Amino acid sequence: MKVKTKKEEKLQRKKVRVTTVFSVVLLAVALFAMLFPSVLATHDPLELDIVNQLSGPSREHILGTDELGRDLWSRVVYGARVSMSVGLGSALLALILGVPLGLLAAYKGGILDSIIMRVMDAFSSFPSIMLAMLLMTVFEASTLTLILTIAIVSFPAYGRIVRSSALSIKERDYIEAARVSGAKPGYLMFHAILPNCMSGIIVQFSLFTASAILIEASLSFLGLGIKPPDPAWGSMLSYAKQYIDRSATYILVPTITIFLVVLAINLLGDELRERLDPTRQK
Amino acid sequence: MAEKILEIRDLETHFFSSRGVAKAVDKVSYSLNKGEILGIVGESGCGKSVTSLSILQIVQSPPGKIVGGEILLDGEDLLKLSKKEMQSRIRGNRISMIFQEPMTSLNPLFTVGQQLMEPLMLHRGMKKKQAKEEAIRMLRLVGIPMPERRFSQYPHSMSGGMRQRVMIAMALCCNPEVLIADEPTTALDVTIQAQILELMKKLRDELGTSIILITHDLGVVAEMCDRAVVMYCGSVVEEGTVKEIFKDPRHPYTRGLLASIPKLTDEQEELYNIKGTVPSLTNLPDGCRFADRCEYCTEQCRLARPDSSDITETHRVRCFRNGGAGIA
Repeated sequence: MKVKTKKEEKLQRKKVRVTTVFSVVLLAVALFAMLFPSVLATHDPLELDIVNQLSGPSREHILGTDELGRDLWSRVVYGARVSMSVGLGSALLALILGVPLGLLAAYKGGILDSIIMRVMDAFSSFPSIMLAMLLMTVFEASTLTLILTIAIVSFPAYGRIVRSSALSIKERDYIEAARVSGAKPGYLMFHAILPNCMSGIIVQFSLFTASAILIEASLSFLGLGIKPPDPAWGSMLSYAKQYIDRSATYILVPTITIFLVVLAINLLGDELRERLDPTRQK
Repeated sequence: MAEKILEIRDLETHFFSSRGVAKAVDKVSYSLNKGEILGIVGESGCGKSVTSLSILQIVQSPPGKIVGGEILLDGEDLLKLSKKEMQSRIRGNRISMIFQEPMTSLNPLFTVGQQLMEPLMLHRGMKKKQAKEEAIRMLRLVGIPMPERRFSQYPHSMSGGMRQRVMIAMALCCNPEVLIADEPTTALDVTIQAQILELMKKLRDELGTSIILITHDLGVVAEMCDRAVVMYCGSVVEEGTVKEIFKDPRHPYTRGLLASIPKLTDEQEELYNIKGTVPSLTNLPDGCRFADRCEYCTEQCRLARPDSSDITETHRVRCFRNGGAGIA
């Protein structure tokens, strides 16, 4: 048997797949749009052009316009600022809250486990709209409040996923072996158990980012999220619904945008999962 | 008499469940001398492994709990140490352990090298570079070819024997005084088994580590050990040098075990077996625990539990009838 070292394995795995390139490029563009929308946009997203309402793609408006004649491309670009930060931000925040709690619950077990899990149950049973209304009245409606709200209602999902996989992993022999060799509890949890739970976390992250973008849409639709003239993908979608019989491009633009970003995140998540698993090589 | 490195006195570990208290380890006493290999034999569930988990205090709790006794490592009672002291000073440092299943005892997500360096940096305070050199030296010591390359490999690309060697390297890298090997070769095939045992013996000679070898293979005990302890139903029934145990077994259970080994020389008809089954640990008989299965059982055996009695300076047995005269 030929012995391969880590370096050789890396070289061998260098063959990058098309899907990975596609998702990296797409997410890079979306992140760029989120940080520097003015560079990519051709118009001011709030600029009205009443003469050209609901027009299809043209030289002036490359993706057409909405019901008030605003440039759709520019609105999608500026919308990234809200949608991307809400999607990724709330997914990340939920992860940061949920993962350590789930890990702790699984590792310690007993009463602490019950307490953590019941608190999580309470949070996830709370209707997100209610919580959003509460938070929006206490704080001002902003991207940050949106992120906070969505993260709070969804971190229990991460907690449960991590807890369930950690429960089985902590019984494995190699965890016992690490304990026997004098590993500290913190090391066991974060260094020995957590990496083995990563695949579940990654899947949850990529699925959740997508739904966070859509939750933002429904909150905005109820007037709890982003206030009307400001563009966001979700709210664009809900406004476009009314004009579905008059302009195909209007509804297609935000739909396809959300679809592509979600797809890219999923593909990247898959790739990441595969790279983290040392036994899976081609 | 040789110097004792580890002494266990009247150790009791109980498991508390809804069906009652299971006395998995019930007043177990034995000692391990410096530089010797002590074999612990007994059938499944007799408390061999729980005893060793108790030594390291890693019995799952709840339901398990060490309720009494002393574990003396060089005169220091381990049961009196705090959790923190156990973790930082004892486990992996002065006492380490290798497990039965080499296939699952290594974390699949880290390279062998990373896993070997961890205890070195933790217990011996080595820097990364130094730890790497030491790890490679350990891999070479346990007979792994091309240790520099194996260092950066993941466990899945190694065979069972190779992984068990890595486990041994990990266990020995901090120069522990005591190594507990819990059926280290059960999962390996016979040729590899012989190699691993040879290796352990060689390392004992080179490093002076005292070894507790838990097994149910009496052949391994005869081959490897200096002394042996026979356990039955949570307690020690016989203890002695390997010669005493094999040439002059006193306890009927030990005799039964020895009689059940298939022999190549005889015209074998049917393999001997000890009749009956082990009593439930939650509902132990008042008398001798082996009474129901014993051919020599008397009224006395059913009423009271025999204590250990000395036959020679090194040979002890827990039986009313064999302690003195013995049975013909």
